[in-house]
Amino acid sequence: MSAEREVLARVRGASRKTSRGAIEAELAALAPAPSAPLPGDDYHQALIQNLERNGASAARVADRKEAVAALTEYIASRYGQRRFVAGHDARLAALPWREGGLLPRFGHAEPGDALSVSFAQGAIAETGSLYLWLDRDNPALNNLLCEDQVILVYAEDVHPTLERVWDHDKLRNSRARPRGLMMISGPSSTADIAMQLVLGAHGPRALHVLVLGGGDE
Amino acid sequence: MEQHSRDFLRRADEALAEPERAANRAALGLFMPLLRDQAVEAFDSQAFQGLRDQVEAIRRHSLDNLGHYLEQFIGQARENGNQVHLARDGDELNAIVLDICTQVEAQRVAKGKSMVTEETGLNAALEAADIKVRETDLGEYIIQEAGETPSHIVGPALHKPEAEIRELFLERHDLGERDLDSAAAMVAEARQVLREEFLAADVGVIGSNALIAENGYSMLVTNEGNGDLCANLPKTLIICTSIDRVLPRPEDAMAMLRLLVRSTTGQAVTCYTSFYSGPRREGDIDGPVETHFVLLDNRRTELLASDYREMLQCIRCGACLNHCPVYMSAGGHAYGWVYPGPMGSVLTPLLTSLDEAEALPHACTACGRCEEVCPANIPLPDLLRDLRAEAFAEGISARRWRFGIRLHSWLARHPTLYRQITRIAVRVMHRLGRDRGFIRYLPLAGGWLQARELPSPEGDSFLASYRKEHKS
Repeated sequence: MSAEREVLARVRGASRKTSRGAIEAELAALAPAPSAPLPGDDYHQALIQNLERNGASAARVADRKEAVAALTEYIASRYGQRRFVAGHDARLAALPWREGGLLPRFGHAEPGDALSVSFAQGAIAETGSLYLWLDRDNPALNNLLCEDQVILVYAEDVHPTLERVWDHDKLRNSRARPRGLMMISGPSSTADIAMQLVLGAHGPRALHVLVLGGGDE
Repeated sequence: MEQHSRDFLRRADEALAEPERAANRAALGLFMPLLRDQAVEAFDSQAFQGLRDQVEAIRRHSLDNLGHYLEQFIGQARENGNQVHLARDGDELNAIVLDICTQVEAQRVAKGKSMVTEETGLNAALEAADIKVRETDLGEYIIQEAGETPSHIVGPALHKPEAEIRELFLERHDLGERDLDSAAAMVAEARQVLREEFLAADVGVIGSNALIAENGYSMLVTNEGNGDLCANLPKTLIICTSIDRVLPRPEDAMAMLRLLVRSTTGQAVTCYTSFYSGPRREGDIDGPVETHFVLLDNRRTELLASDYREMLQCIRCGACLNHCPVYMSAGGHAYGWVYPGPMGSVLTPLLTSLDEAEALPHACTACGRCEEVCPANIPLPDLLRDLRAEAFAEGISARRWRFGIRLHSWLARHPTLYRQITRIAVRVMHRLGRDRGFIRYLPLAGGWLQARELPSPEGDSFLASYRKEHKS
């Protein structure tokens, strides 16, 4: 007997003998999990506070023009150059980079790239997390290889609780779902040496988030 | 992985004799519970208990219906473009991974932290076939370079003092003269060395914190991001985990995440929580082109059918280790296999043999802290007691020990005699400690008294004193 058949037979033998409908009904009857309390009623403020607690920095900007200005200032304060790498995300392509004199290279990050800029699918206030699909427009390497990462997110895509990450039809469809989904909540870190927290273990040493729009709520 | 659980007492003695490592454990035992308590308080301790109950209910439901959910996961994972393999035991998992590596002509493997592959001894199996394996979690990297085994399921190198790691890096990294005088400098150096390894790897191997039956995604929870580099840089990705990791829905994984991270490090969330569904899709410009799941049984189906099923609810957070006085004194290596602490003392005899690991269920003071903090509500002290009872019943425990237990059992069933004997014993002990108020020597308790003193009793047994009080 193949390993698969044998293991599955053993698992079935040790599982409860019940119908699929009964299993689904039992699952549906389980209470939903409680989420963490937010620091305030404003999701955007809660997101920023939680990101700062996680070791990231974050700011709100009114529109795309302000986003580019904020990015220009951020890059200038950390690097003596204006180059960075960005995925092919249409929302990134639509930003007025020239107004800030910034020079994006569209594609995936290469070893030696200092900074990447990404656009998140959404953000979760409860934990201070940005979530990004890993697909043709958002290479995973841009989240991992650079020293520094900036992630933009629309204010309307900020949600209160973790479960909202999965709230999209594409994720329910096996033919459409992206190969990966990454939740980023702060700079890469480790405490493996004598329990001392050090940033930049393998991924970016710094994470900066810009929340776009939603200022008049 | 080679097992040395029989040597628990000797290895515990050795750990106690190393003051620097003992200091590391003391710091771990002090800070980790504090961080967890803060996280629980910030969540609201009552709501946190509700979260534990909810996740326990989900885990129980998943295990009760594991056949249904495992098949659903396998079906979804295959639809997502993965190859799914099942392994009956560790050797089979190693053979499957080696076969995949051979097929893609891999020479280098980059690994994220995976206790399942520690269990199967995957590194040794691959290295025997001339495949270079590089552990990339910083803690795992340190112990791999030092030729040691993990001492903690979350922080594998937490036993090593900073100075030892500095010496190790100076010796192992050919990077010339340098001070390397801080943890930050050492982390930066490891980052530089390991970056090359990620870029050169042909295959990435990672573990999984949860498998989601509804959509076939696998959850990976890390702070360093090394697991994600292993999952995204090499052309082939292999996810090795065990069959009991399956959860029904994505929201269940999120509920477990809330509980796992707070119980592990006291964080509200780790820096990276990733979900991988399969190989790169058409048009993707990065990611693996081939992805495999290797799902290990290794006696878990036996556990599922046994009275120890609750142990499969374990989410590998390490909270029971961080709160265990025996773990803090004896250290992780004393347990002699992959899983240390209370969860290891239950799992090791069940996944290997009670005969081999009989010492572990006894490595418990029955203080109950592990059960108090276990996010999955596993009754660890009860399971340890059941294993002790089993070892006794099967004649595995030492003859002397079994004789003592039988004698005590017989006495307990003869209360009059029991009272008379204890009364005599109490009087003798009172006399022995009369001058100082404590006893330094007692027949059959030499080991126990080696490191502590026994306060001498008041002069009569509790029952005798109680009766006297009530008569007067």
